[in-house]
Amino acid sequence: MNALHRTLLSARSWLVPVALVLLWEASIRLHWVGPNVLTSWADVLGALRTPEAAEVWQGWLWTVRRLVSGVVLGASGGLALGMLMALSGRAERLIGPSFHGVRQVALFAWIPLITAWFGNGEWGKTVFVATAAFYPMAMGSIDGLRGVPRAWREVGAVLKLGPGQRLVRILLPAAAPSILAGLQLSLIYGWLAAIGAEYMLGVGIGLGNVLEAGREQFRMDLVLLGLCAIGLSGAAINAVFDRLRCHVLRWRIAGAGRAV
Amino acid sequence: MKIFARILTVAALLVPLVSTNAAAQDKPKVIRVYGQGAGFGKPYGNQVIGVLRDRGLLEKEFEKDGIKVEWTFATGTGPAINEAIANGQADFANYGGLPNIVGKAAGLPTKILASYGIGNVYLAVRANAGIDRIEDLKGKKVAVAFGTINHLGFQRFLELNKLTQKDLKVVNLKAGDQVSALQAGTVDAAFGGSNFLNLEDKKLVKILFDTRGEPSPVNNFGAFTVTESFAKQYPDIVRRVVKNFVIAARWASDDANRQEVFNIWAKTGIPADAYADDFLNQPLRERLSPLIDDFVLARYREGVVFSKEEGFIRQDVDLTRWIDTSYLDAALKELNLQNYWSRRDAAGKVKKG
Amino acid sequence: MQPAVRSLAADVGAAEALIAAPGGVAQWTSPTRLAWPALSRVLRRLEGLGLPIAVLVLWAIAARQAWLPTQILPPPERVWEVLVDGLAGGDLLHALGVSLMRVLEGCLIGSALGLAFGVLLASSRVSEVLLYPTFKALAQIPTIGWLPLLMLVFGLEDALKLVIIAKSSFIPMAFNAFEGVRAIPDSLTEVGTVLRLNLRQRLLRLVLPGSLPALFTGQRLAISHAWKAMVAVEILVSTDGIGATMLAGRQFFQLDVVMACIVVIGVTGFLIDRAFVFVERRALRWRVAGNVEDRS
Repeated sequence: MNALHRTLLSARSWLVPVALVLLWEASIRLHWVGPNVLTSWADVLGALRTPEAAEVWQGWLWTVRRLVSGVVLGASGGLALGMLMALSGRAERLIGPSFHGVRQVALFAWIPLITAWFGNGEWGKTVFVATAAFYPMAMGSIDGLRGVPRAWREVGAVLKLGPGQRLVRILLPAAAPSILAGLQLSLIYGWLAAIGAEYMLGVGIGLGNVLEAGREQFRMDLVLLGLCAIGLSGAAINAVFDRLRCHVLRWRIAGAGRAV
Repeated sequence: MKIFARILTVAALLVPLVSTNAAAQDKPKVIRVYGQGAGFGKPYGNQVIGVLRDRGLLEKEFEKDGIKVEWTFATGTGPAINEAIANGQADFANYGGLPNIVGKAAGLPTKILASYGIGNVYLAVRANAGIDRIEDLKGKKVAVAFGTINHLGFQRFLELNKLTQKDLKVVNLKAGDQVSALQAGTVDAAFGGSNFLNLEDKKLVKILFDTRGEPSPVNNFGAFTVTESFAKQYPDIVRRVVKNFVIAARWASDDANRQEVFNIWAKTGIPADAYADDFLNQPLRERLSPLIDDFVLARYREGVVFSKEEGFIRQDVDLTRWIDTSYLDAALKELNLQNYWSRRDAAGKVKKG
Repeated sequence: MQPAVRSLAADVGAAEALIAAPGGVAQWTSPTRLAWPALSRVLRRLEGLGLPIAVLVLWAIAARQAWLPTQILPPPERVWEVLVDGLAGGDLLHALGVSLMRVLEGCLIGSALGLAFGVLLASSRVSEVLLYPTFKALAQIPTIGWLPLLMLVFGLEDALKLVIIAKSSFIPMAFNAFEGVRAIPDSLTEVGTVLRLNLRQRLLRLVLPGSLPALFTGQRLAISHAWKAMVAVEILVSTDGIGATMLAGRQFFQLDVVMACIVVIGVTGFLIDRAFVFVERRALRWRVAGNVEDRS
């Protein structure tokens, strides 16, 4: 099976996406869908040359800022709580039911409360992003720390490591893949929450505002450009983290093999 | 771990952080003014507040004191402004009567300083929705922004035409979303402000009802307010702000500046022609008066009664304690404008003498 | 609560039996000492309530002392009043009903399509290769990520709500159906071939029962995701339903209404999930027995 053969085989998975894109173009050209709903790729790329494209770029930068501040706030809280709940049975019994109960409430249901308590400005948006980032990180930390193999914990006991050292040298590295997965989800949900917050909380600069303004002015090319930016950023986050997790797992797999 | 758990439990119950405005000694570092957005997300306003902002009167007034002025025109309009006040993010707020009343009844510490003018409401009907008379609205989908002054106007409009909310399907949409919905055909009608005039020009909607002409109980009304704490701390600043508000109102009421006023308002995203249409055959000063006369008082009184009936508010609002015209009266005296704007009676007719 | 109480009684009963046994017991063991393990079990269960109760108490104190203005922190009694009035009087109940109906509608459509798609993916190698990579990539995008695009296409109205809810049920159902069908042991598939079952018989007698546990999990996830999606979309497009009620509460600065709605949303989501787990356990009882037979 030479390289060409392999490429052709993997290209099969691209058939459907390409077909979808063609369908899109066709629906525009053949007027199945009006220009107020979708525009062609040419228009979207053309939008890059309009003056509003700078607004899209600005909006992207601001949204990224909100993402970072919100995720730092939410993910650190999630990590802290996750560590607490995974390592202390008492804490788990005390906090667990409330934790899982509050998790039931859909993310967007918090918006009215957040705007009332934190306003419609930057702080409100940051808190919303933090809320979105909190749970995935907490769950990832809990899963990771609970899943540390007993044998490894015993090593800690044998070497008479203090609790701090045990945490830093054994538990956290062991839980790292799961925690990274949690962080990845935190970033993805945080990213979408940032866009959502900008959309629902109005005033300001951001990708969500670009979408809203574009929709109101029927500049579908801008809206689609914004959507592309959103999608590509999400894909980038995923790609970076998949790589990162592979890298972290590498020593783990090799290590597990040698230990046996 | 136990101690850790306890600390975390307490931390988790942390009181929500309300941003406090750490007040400087006798001067604030910044004056934060909120106004309603016009639905396009642009940081400009219309009516007197829009003129005040554009002419930079406050900035000029406070430059020598080194006080900055921050402007926010909330796309969520009234409800969003209430939230800002509740969070201590606003010092002055210019917004509609219903959210004024709702906020005050809920306990927001505001003081009404001046009227923000009289606004028109429009019932825009989709061009091919088959609605030719108001009775045809029965069973149709109508969009209105809940909690805004347009919502109150809508309720009064229904009352006047012997309709109830149950006769229609009412949808809660912001101004900008209303426009998209009308264009996409997902609602049959919308009740809102002059942004619909633009759509009428494009033949997308028909204006079936509006309040152009004589002031009526359905008109939009609202106020320029200040928070009680700001007024208590900096009464002199409030005096100067109100003075400039009146100056802006005076300038905007002068028909000689008519086109310029419309151009200033056009920065909100609604074209100048729409504003010209809104003010057709009407002198500017009729609708940009900052006076709190019997007409405005009657509107607020009715608004409170209405809101209580509809369940928007749960307790009464004491208008006499809420409205403080001392600053306005002082400004009018200082600028010698006591007789520039006419006072209207409760029905909207100009009082003679 | 039931098991703990029963075992408490059992413990005490056992103690009595021991004391009353012929030959008697050398020493008399106090009932409280015997009751302790059961009691501690009960206490452990209640530990989970500790935090919520503490929060409630703190909240009540904070509201009474007005640490925060009442608009921002309504007293818990007020929220309770709104809850009870709304559920008994009908407003909240009606809104909840509307939302539930919407979720059911969307979930039924989404799950049915997801089931069909999953089975299709699992049944044919060709379709798996063609469709699976795209499906997997698109499924990574959370439902809220789809909102902007779907808002464009469907506008802000009921169709959007249905599509979003259906989409959020489609994904978990499709995945689980795919995995479930794939996991059907080859031995059973061969039996199907030997018996020369036609397509309909295969589906009804082999595929569906065989993948039932996975389907149940899928359905449970589907309805759970659908409920969450419904909340998000109702806040965006509010006509009626519990999300709309909550949004109206925000517009009118009635935080007690907002909080009451949050409670309703959370509790309903939880109850739906629990109901499903209950049904799942009952319905899959035969499965366990079947597995035992399989091994032998």
